[in-house]
Amino acid sequence: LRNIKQRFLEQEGIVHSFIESYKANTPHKLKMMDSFIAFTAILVVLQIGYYMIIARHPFEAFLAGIFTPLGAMLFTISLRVIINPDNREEYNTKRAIQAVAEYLIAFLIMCLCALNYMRQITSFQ
Amino acid sequence: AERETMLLQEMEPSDLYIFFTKVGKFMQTIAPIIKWLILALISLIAFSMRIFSVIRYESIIHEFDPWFNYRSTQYLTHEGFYNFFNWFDAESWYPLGRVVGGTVYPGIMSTAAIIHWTLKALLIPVDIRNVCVFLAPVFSAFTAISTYFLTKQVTKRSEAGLLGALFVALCPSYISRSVAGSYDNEAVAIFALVNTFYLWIKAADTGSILWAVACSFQYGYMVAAWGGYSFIINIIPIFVLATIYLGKFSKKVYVAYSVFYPLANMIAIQIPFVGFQAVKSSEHLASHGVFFVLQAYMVYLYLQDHLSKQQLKTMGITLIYVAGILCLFGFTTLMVLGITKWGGRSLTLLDPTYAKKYIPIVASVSEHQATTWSQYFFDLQGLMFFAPVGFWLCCKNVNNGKIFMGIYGILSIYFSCVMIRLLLVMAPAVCILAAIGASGVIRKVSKEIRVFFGPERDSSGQTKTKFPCEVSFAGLGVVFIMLVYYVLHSTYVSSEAYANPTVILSSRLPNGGKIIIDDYREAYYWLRMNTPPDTKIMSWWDYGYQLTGLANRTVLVDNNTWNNTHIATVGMAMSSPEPEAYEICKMLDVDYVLVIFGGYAYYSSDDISKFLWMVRIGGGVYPHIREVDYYGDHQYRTDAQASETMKNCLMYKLCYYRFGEVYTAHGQPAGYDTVRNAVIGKKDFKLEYFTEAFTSERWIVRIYKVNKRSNRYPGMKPRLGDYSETLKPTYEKFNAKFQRSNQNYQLTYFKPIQITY
Repeated sequence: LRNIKQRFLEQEGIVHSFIESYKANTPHKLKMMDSFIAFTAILVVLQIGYYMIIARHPFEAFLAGIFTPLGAMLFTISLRVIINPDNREEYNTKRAIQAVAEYLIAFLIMCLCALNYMRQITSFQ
Repeated sequence: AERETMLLQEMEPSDLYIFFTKVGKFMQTIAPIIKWLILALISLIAFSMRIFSVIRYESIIHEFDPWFNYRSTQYLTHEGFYNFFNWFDAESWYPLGRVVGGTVYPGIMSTAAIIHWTLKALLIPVDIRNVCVFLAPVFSAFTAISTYFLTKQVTKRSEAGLLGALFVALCPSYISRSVAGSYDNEAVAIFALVNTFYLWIKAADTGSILWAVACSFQYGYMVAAWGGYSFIINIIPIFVLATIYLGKFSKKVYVAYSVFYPLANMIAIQIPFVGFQAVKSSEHLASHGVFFVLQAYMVYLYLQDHLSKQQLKTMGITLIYVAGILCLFGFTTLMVLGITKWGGRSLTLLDPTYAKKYIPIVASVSEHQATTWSQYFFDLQGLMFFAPVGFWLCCKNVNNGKIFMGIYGILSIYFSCVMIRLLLVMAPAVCILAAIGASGVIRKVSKEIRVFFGPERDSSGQTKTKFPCEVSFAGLGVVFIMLVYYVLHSTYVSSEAYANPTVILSSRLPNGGKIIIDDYREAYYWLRMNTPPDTKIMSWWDYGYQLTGLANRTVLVDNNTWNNTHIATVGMAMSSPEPEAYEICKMLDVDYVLVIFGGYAYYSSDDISKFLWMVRIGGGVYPHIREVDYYGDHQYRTDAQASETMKNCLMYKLCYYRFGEVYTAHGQPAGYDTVRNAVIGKKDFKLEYFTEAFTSERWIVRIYKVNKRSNRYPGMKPRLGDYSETLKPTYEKFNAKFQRSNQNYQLTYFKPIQITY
């Protein structure tokens, strides 16, 4: 039991040191992107909670509601990976503005797919 | 003297060598032009290799499934996309109908319709039938081009790419499913498959979001086109896991998969046929599982930048254990509880004996049988020898493309062993591996020859070749001869084996001339011209699509085989004695019965050959039909030793009606069945409830009309399904009254001819 308590305190210490390191080393732009990522993650959790607790019927709405914020989160993480200065050796030939343009295209297509799916649901019912 | 003391001596280059180096430099300057020229020629070969049947017969849709695709495309071009996606087809699966909009892969029909409309808008009107017939050869040319790009991306060499394009253009197993006229899903799906793989490897190599978006678009097209898309959605996650395991994981692969996963699922959900299966079927579980594992792994890599080694170790181990156990537990629960379901065909892939035990319909399809060695050689020939070489070359100096090709090769070869129709998925893999192998061999050998003819010499005055020059020339010659034989084999196979439209048959006269046997279309057009438009036809499910396509009449069961009980009812009708079969026909409201009989024309794939499958499928639902009852003398036979059940069943009677009066083979008595090679068992019999309506020229298609019920007479016992429940008491009262008052009359005149059941 003491082992588990020691382990738990250890983990807490690790989490604190991680948070300090994060605050110190991450540039401001990436912090803003991280907040957007956290926001979309909370959206996904909220959607799943809504599905479990309140209404299950239009399963299509649940699917669209999961994949759109999930997609937004993954696209933003990918953009963060590409423009992170730590990854310079892998992405040295890619300009940042090009990556942002591609990110916007992917986002647009994701929203178009979600809209088309909503149109499909309303036309079936 | 100075030259002799050098360890590495150089002799004067010979004139021949100078000439060849000059030629080489010139070729290098015009290499791009030659490359595109060769690619254009390969596309032309791919197209022209597939049009043998159009030249020999005519531009007609082949086989069975393409007729339904053609009919759907006609409907789409006339009615538009909205009506097509909401189409309820009342002309097939007669009392039930079929919701076509939700049960069809719309890729190929949409492609043909869009090409037809585009050509019309460009003022080049092409008939929809010709668009459908020639769609497959055109897309096979595109597949060859796409294979060139894929192989070039894997090996970074154009020579391997060109060889890959040539192999795919000529591969017999790909030709078999994409001849002109074979308007089936695989015609466009193989192009979509190769293109998806090319775009995926490009995305994983460059790590760009745009290539991953393009890959998910192409994957969406594949989902719209063919049910084999589940192969892609499993192989890409396996590739990601393999890169992690082999230590070749890079953030570019992460970006590619993270962008691909949500877009691919979102586009797959749009197709009505797939819909919820993107999250609810077990075939997609791998993609979800790998998604979670990938995110956990990425978090671990991210933490490496922020924590020290010791802290990372404790945190990382906890994280990975928690994530891994959650995944394993979650997915096993999902599968065991049955929340996600495996499709029947996928289960057959994992356990090849599954279909034979539980789903006789899946087991009865000839394309689902296990593959034989001769089939491999017939479909691949020389590629079989180069593919392992290519696979070995993929294991050296691995990059993303080579890992992917290795995985694709192994998985596709394994699945091709289970079912014949999956040889098609293996074809591009083997072609690409063989191209890598062949080009690798040619490069090594050419290098040896260059060194042999070159000016460099080692200390003893010999050239620095690894093996003697005769071996190099012999190797080059062997590779060249194998490739030439591959081309000859492909041409022979495409001309003789795969140019058969199945709707039209042909055979050779003793003097070498050709006769065309057009019985199918003769019979279908008889139906089209001589029966009312709302006629219902009962036949075995093989001919359903052709009947709705060519004869334009309503059928009971067709090749979609979505309702096993309905097919079993038709099987029961075919294997019952005549009175019971008549009652089933009346219950199903059938007007005509159609059977295929090959005993007169040496045509071996007729309904008597398929009859045991009808019995098995019928017996699976109606237990009173037992397969052993139809065996005479422990064997399936139709001659004098056939069992009584066999000789009395409807299929026997309809096929052999009046066959006992006909002489078929030289020196044999009347009624000699040329396919079963025996005289039939029961020759003179009359049909009581069916009338022969039409028999085609060589007796291949026989159509029978179902008689109306005979007239009633007083005192007749009530029959099944004769009257509605509301009239039943009235009729019984009437009967009882007549019976009481006319007993003597009945006893003297009607008793001998009274019909009982």
